Amino acid sequence: MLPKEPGEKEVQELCAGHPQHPGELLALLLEIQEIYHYLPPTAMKEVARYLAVPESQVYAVATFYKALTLKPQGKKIIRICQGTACHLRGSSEVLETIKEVLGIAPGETTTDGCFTLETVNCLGACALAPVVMIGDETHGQMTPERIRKLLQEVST
Amino acid sequence: MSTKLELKVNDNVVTAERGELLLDVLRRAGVLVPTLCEHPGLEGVGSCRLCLVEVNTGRRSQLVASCLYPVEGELTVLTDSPRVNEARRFVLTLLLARYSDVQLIEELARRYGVKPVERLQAEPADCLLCLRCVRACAAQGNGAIATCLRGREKRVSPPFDEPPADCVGCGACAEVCPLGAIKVEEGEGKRRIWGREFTLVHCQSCGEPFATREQFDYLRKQPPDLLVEEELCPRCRKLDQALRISGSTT
Amino acid sequence: MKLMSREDLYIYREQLLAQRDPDSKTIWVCGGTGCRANGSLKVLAALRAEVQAQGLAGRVKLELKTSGCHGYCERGPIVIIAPRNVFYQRVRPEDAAAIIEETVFRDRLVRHLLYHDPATKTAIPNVAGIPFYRRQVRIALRNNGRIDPESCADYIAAGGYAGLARALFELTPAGVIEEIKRSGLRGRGGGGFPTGRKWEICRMAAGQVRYVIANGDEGDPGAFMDRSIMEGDPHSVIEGLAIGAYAVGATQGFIYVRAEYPLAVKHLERALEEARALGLLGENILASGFSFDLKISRGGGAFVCGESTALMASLEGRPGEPRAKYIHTTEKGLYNQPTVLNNVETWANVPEIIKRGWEWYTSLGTEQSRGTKVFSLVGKVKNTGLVEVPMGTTLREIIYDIGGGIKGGRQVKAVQTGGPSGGCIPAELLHLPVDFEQLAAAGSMMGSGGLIVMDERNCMVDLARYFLQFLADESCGKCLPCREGIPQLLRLLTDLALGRGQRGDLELVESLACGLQETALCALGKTAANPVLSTLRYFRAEYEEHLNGFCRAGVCRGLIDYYIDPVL
Repeated sequence: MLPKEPGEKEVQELCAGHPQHPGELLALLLEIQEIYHYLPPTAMKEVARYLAVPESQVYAVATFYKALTLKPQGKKIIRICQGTACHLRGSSEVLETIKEVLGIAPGETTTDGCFTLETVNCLGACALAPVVMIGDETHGQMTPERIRKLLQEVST
Repeated sequence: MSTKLELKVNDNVVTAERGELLLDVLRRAGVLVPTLCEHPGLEGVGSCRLCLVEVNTGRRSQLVASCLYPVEGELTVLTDSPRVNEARRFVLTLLLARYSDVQLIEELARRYGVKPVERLQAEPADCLLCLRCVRACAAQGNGAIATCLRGREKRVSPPFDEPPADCVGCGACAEVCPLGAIKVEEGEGKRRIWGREFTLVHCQSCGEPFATREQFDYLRKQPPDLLVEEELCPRCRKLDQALRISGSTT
Repeated sequence: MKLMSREDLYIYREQLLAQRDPDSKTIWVCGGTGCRANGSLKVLAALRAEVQAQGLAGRVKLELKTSGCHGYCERGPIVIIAPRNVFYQRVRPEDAAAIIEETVFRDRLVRHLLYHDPATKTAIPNVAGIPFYRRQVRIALRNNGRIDPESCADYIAAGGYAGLARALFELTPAGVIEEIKRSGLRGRGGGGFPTGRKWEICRMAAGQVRYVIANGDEGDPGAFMDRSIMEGDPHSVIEGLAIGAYAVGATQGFIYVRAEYPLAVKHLERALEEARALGLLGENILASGFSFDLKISRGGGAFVCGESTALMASLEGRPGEPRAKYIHTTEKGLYNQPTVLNNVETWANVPEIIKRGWEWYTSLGTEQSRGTKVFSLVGKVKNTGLVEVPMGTTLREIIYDIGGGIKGGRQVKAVQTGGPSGGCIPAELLHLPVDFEQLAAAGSMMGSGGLIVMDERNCMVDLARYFLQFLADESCGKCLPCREGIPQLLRLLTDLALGRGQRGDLELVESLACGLQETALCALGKTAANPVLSTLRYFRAEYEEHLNGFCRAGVCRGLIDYYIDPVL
């Protein structure tokens, strides 16, 4: 199961690992995102307090960067690359298949909380285009058929 | 190094201080440059791109945002060249597509002869994202509001889209908004802004409401030279000071 | 162990080399992201298990190591067996037994794993014989695939940190700048600004402290050389930064790495630890009196952060919004202090130039563009991957001699260089040499080195639309031309693709694109029009066909009632 909304103490402990400097803001938010798969408002407020930056700055940063989300994410994140090489080798077909199989659009999470679908601009594995990442694993040379099979495998 | 510089602006010679912002120099020389995001007293951001002018340093000619461009050497400046006009018209065309019913934009477009382009469409919006409000709030030291998101979705918002904790209700944001888009309501001794309610402080002399309680609380936390002893509105304070001076000399 | 002098470093290297057994064999399994995606770690595990099962029993001395990216990702997983450098491609875990049995024990080749020349159908036994590598000259990628990126000892054995030692003990900071200026090195991130001059301006600028930054926010979709360098040879970037810091007088530096590159972060972190432990980073490096340290900062997923002022805003804990650069970052950069920011590939070149001297470097490349450039050759070519060639190599040589031509025997239609900021170069111009000025004159740009090859089944309107969509998503939204102009352009091109274009649209697109180029605040916005303008310049007929409801490539679905599966 996903970690629940963090307690004040947990966020304070996370913060304590960083110097009290505004330059740590993005690093701290990325760390919270990694653990909780999203940024709970309580955590963002604690970060603002710890780094002595305005809450508005934390919110601005939290909503600006694509790697950060305010919505809770599914257990596994499926990232489909939309880079140029992937686009030219048919990534949109692969994306359509994922949308059809999971019944969600990019940015959404399946109702069972298993998968979140995200599009990314480039995963830097262009030679293997089209590329899909499921969790930490990269899968290259995807086709609608192969992604269908792959989704079946990870669903069971 | 001399601090005085001579600039050639549209065939006239204008003097400037080294490091001075080009827009200030142009205004002093009486040259009209359209602006939107610029506001005297607030740090420039150069986001609206209306104040673009053409500068030539001798090495190359380029369009610069005059509100941000520091004069560092001899320059030739054109504020009405074909290149400047083309750029200005482009900016106004985009503005007109998005803010078709905003009077300020309509007037600017009319002044520069820009007509709506039918093929360009956009949802009407009531915020220019000139960021004057955000800058005014930051200048006050509060930073209660900022922009969130990015690109076309970018907007000014209090953190977490909740009533902003750091707001003191000073109303500076509404004061500087060129479109009057930030709503401030006052009544029954209260000021309502950004979804929060503030208690108004009345002038101890004339009785008019002029600030919020939170503003005073905030000021009291600042260094001593900013400390406010008496709660007087700006007009009464001036009067009070005048009376004291006249009282001390007679 | 801390190295306390230049001699210590020299002796350490000698010891490392002396420890090498000439009879020992090394199996190098590629651990780059591309090969990992193809299952190289499973191959590594299988090889390890096989060694355990068969037992070496004194028959042979063998080391199993992982390397960084070899560049030939298309053929992954790649396994190389040194010292003969036998090149095995598309290796599966099932092949482990044969590799150990045959190649390691008996020095025999496993034929089905060898690369076969597609023209002659003959098997090529080692790396040097493969056409993909034959034309390459590797400086930035010098160690990629040849060392274990998690071993500083490997880097030092390969001649690493000798450049830093030369800088610290033979050259003054001004002398280092002079070397770089004379080498003609120019920024590999896109603009091509002379690196030495950048350093000099920073060195002369007034400030309390100075910073050096490596830009590893490789956002150009289609380019992955910076990733490969950070993953495969992290010390080359660190050494480059240390040399740059010594030259400009910085004591603190940053490496800003894209959020999507976890392996690069891991290898860089490890490299920093090792370098600090050896006294190659930190206080009083090699007892030279020079101190310098580095911090790794992860990006948050924003293309615009590749722009220097946006990157610095991000490092300061703010949204990555660029600012006007009327005062350059070399004078007022990070925290308003003089800052040198160079791209990862630029930094990786620096140690080699300092070690071998500027004369050597100027022997490569063209008059205006010295040295080599790494390209990520992707799209419809047969051999995709990273290639490093001397500047001045023609596009045709890259696509045909190295890339092996187009899949399915089709024709090249265009080459896209420079990513979302670059443009498309038509097939007629494949004789163009890669060089900053030549590509710019053709309406494109060098950019970070994405080289995306397209054939007749790619639609140029679709491509321009693709880049506009990308840029619309990535625009920070600070200035009006970019925030409003790109979505307007995107809508017009989407209409074209859907067969809803109107007379006058092309002229409107052109005028908007030119306006954007003139008025946007930062480089992202100013160059956002390039993909549109360059395709309009060379493929106007195709745009006009779309106006008439026809997409010759069969890509724009609004214009066809059937759909062809793209050739993969």
